[in-house]
Amino acid sequence: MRLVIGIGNTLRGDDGVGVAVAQQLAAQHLPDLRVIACHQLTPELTALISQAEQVIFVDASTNLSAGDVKVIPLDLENARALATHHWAPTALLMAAKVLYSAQPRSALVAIGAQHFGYCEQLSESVARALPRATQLILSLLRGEVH
Amino acid sequence: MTQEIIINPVTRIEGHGKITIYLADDGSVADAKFHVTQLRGFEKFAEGRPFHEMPSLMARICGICPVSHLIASAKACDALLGVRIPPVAAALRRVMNLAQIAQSHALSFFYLSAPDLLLGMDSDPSQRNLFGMLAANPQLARDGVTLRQTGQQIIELLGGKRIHPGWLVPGGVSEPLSAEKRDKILAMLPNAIAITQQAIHWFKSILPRFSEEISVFANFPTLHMGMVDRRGNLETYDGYLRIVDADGNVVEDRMTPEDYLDLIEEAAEPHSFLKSPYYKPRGYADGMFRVGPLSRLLVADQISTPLANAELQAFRQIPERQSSFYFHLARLIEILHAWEEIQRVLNTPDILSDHVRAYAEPNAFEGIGISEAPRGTLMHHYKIDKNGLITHVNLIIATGHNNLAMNAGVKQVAQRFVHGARLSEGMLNRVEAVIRTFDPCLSCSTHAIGQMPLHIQLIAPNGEVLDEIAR
Repeated sequence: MRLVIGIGNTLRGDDGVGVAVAQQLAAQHLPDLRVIACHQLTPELTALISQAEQVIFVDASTNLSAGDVKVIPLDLENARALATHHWAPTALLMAAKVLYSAQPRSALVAIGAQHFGYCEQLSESVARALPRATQLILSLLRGEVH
Repeated sequence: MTQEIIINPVTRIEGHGKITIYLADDGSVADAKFHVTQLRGFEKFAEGRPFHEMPSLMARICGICPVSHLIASAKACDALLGVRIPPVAAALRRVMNLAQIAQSHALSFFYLSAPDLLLGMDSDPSQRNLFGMLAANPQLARDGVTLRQTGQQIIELLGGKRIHPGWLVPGGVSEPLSAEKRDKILAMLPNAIAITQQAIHWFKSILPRFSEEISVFANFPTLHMGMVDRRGNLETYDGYLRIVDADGNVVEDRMTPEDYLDLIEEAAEPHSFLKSPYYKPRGYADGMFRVGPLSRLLVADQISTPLANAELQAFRQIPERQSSFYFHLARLIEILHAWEEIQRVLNTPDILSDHVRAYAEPNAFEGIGISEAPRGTLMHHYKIDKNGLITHVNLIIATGHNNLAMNAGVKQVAQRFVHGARLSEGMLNRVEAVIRTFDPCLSCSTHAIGQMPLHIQLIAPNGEVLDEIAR
């Protein structure tokens, strides 16, 4: 099973871009692909991640220019536990490794975002990035991009 | 001159809080306060909305216990409609509420408090977190993941999604349960029950290490409030309110939601956005009460499911069961009850019935819904106008009910562990840990809108007021 996790709050503008990408991927009904969307990463996702051969996180980023899409490798050596109910992707991957001896291939697809106000729409540049982000994830899933 | 020690933020709780400890001249603790420093405003901005939007609006109060707000809100809306919802709808709501209680308790016990319990209150804070727990006891961590996942999956199967499901509606639920979903849920429960029993066994085994904490973690006599059924069994979805005193004597019994204003008054304190409810007949000074898993076990005569009831009877033999440290054990017993009760309900013959919703226009201008949330009794009270628009909302949340006891608990722990002007990590952690026993949810409890009174005085060592600002 391959897993895509879209992260974000659809009530806060561009923060919902990870969820929007997840919805586009889910609509394709690809075999052996599980797509979930969530506001934040919670520890119980560890169990699901441990069953996946590949996991891709999709999230908005303030470190990129709006609309830029980038694949970011996830470094377990720098995993940090925040000690609460929301974790970073690396923390979940580390937990999957320690608890279930699972080490799925992983990546974070970051999408540059700029507007985080109270609205359900993506800004224009971020909305334009949606198809590119979706295609990039499909390429990652097919093994065409690493 | 009084000195202040401030712990900010308080960690591993749901929301943002602050603790202030006031020292006397001799370095002993004179007083301590738990401040809630965030404001949400749900009571106010719901005004003017159509009443049928309330369940989905109120669920947004919290990402941890949205189901609890859905349940209480839907019940308040049932009262506005003036309908008695179909029995199967009530049974399905009950299942979802139990799954919510179980997953929330699992989060509190395994994710927020287990690092203290497993690694010790004085352990290295850089290790005293979930990563430290993974390394020290991976099986316990796996069990926590499994129990939380079980509760979340049940909610998702019933409601379509784990967080903010829209399945609970005024008059019942929007869709009946399918046989496939029922069987999926039932298949998860034996493992969940076994894991919960292991966790109870483990917790009991470590209790001797925490005798000091047990003795001062909000270990004092208070009233306790919780819901029971008409036979006095632990109840979480629909029943009567009961209040007992520290000796177990029943103070109030068979009280209905409509009685809540006779029982509870809400005081506002200048140091916190969290209100301080108290038992009205005894007044503010003597009306402190607690709610939540510990109180529910102290209020109920028994539990209707056998495994949890056996644990309850054993719990009743514990001399210091008034200590809030036992909230942890009570949570585990309630998780066990939740799985057993879900099994019972899903095995009833009519559970797949498609008669799951009653339809009506509003028949009353006022509706009150009360249920037991993970952290305690949850009250939603709505008033509407002739067009069905909300004119008044009052929400009393479990964390609010516990506010006076949490403050008293912080003071008790600080007086035991804090000496002089210097704090050790272990002292700090215990002061926070007593708050964690209550598992407060500050996003839920700071729903009122308003202006926090601000009064600052600059006072010289000789007591002279040098400057003063008030708004």
